[in-house]
Amino acid sequence: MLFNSLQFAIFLPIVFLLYWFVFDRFISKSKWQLRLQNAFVVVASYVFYGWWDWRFLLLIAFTSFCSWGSGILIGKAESKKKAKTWMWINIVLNLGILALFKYYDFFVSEFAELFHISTDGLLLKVILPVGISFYTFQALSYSIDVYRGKIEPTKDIVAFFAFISFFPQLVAGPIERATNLLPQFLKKREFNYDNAVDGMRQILWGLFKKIVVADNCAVYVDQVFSTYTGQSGSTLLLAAIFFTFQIYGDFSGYSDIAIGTAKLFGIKLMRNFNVPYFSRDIAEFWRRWHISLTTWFRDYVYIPLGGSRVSKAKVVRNTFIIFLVSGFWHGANWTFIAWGAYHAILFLPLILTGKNRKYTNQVAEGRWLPSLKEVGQMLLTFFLAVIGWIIFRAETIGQTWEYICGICNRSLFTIPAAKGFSALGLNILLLIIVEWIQRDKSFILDLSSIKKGYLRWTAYLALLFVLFAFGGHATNFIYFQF
Amino acid sequence: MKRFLWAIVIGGIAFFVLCGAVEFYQSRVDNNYSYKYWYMENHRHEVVTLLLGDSYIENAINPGLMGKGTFNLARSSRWIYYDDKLLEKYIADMPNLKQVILGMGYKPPYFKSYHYPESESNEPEMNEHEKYMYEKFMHIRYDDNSNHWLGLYRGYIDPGTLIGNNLLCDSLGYERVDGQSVNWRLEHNVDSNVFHQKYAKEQVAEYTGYLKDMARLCHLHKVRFIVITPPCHDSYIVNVRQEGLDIIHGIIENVRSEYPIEYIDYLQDEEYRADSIYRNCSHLNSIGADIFALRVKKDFGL
Repeated sequence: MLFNSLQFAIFLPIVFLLYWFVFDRFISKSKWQLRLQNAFVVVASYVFYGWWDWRFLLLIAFTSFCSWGSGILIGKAESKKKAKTWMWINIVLNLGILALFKYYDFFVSEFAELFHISTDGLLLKVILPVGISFYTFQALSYSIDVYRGKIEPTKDIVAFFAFISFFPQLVAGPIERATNLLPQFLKKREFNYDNAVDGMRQILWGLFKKIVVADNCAVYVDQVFSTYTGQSGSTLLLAAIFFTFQIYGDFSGYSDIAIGTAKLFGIKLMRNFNVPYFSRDIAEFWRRWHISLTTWFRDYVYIPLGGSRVSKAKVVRNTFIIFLVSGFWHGANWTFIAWGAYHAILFLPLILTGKNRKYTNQVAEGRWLPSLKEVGQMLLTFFLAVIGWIIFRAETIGQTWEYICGICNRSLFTIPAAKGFSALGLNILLLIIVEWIQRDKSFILDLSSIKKGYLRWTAYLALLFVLFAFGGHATNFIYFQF
Repeated sequence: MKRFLWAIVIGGIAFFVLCGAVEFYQSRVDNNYSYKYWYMENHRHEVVTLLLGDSYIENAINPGLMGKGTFNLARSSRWIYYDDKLLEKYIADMPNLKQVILGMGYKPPYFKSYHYPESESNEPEMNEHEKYMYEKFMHIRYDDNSNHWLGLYRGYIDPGTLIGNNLLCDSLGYERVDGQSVNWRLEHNVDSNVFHQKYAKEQVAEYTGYLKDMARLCHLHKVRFIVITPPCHDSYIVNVRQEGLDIIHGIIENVRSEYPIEYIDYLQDEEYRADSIYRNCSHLNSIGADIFALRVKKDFGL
């Protein structure tokens, strides 16, 4: 079920009303109330997820059960060694499933090509279950945190299943930590008007980014990337810039809708994007882009490897590992690995010179406009991100190279072919302006500082109307495939 | 909770009021549909040559070069259903009408099968915007399974119409398109299976039915019925398959067996090989539209 679909528009109010009026209010005296409400979350989430393919439900139930069981076993283990064994069993099991569904065919094909072997009968050709990388990582974080003693293993299997399958963030994150999300399913949720309103605002902005920006960018991007050999340099560059906004609008839009929807149910999810295109260097960009995945890799891979408190050679190794794994997490294709390597190369000079945490505050903090230096830094970082997204969007490394070569010629200085896309340009401009003005806020459409109610309502209605008038055709979210 | 639900209800009402206001405004902005409807309602008696069809005709034949009394009633993305209904509505009250020229492209008779070969729906592939614009401004409705009311509303709010003037055609109904579009060589190959699948056959049969009805109406009112297949660029023609050509020629023969019909296939005509006359691989631009109009005029002795 897509967030930007009619089905979800019907599903969400029904679930919301049942959640608060049936499972919270009318059975509030029952000691089973919390468990029933959690069970309802699981059922609703399974309906939401099973809408794609009911067979995926078996997999997520299996992952949830194994991770819950491993938590219990880790908690009961008599020695640290035994606990570690249970943790590793769960990691291998989860990563094994992920590898089987996501990477098996890729490795077999590459291996077969390398040694000129036929792949007949070797490939599984299975459908990749939607969001498998997201919920697998969420499940892994639980058993690792239980092992590390950061969280007590829960005996409440219903709450645990709700934690893994909570529908707003199930298929494309944010990848929640058990330490943040699981305790919220273990205590009674209270409806809070301000939180619910904030949730609606966040959903509205997420829909704008997805439907108006990303879906319309997709039309242009798909046209140009499928015919890139015949396009001018300026058109190719424009398509790359549009893809930069498409992937941001698509993914951060999904995250906003997920976080906003969760707020309606009294659940607080972590922030996943923090105006990444206003970053002044690549290190800052990575602190603001897909925060839940970046911090996951930092906490569970980078720091256990020694992080940056080791020799320079090991820092280089750790940086490459983290970015290559991050690239590979996105999919079984050399382009994703190349994208990871590209960012590792950009990141290395910063970490080796100790400048990777130079910009931890918001750009132009306390000012309306950035300085010229900041503008230059943001443009350079944006340009580097654009190059990265070309690698990411291309189907092969060869296509990446041809595409970039296509940009770098005299036709770069011609007017790009973009007839019919002026409205999209205006909407991207609206996105940039609103995100710039609101960059200090905890979420972009936080209009609580506007005291006049009619002004806030005017903004909501205008945005709703833009959604309705300029919305592109509903397409899948890009990150579902990861 | 009550406060929150009230806010949602009041917000929803405010949104519907806003939509209503915009709809009211939009209904007063001229567009190609409203203009063509107005022209037919007020000037149909003057029409000698009526052009019907989709973008292959609306943008590809300049009626100003085809002699007095020519009007281009074609509309981009339309399904032949609308041509039939328009003809049925007006032909009895067009005393000067001598000929109807209908464009039949290579793809439209099995358009949906071409683009969505996996589809199990027999609905013709129609642009949502165009479909509802026909209903709102030309008062011809097509019933199908889509979300009618949402589409009907969105049909108005084309981003182009919201910002500026959407009346893009000239006084004779011709919409001039200069230059080339970004993806002008983009054309996908067609799998041979497309021509043989069940839904393709059903759509071809439906298309033939409407065409036959138009031929019947013309015959009844003693009007020449001319069908043309417009020219396409080489990058399109490489993907043209004999099966597809056989289908469109078969449709003509089928109609001809019952009613008079004149037909010329310009698809691969040697006169139309230059890049400069194309907007994209299957549509002529304004240069091509001038050349093509004169050619059709000459070939059919208009």
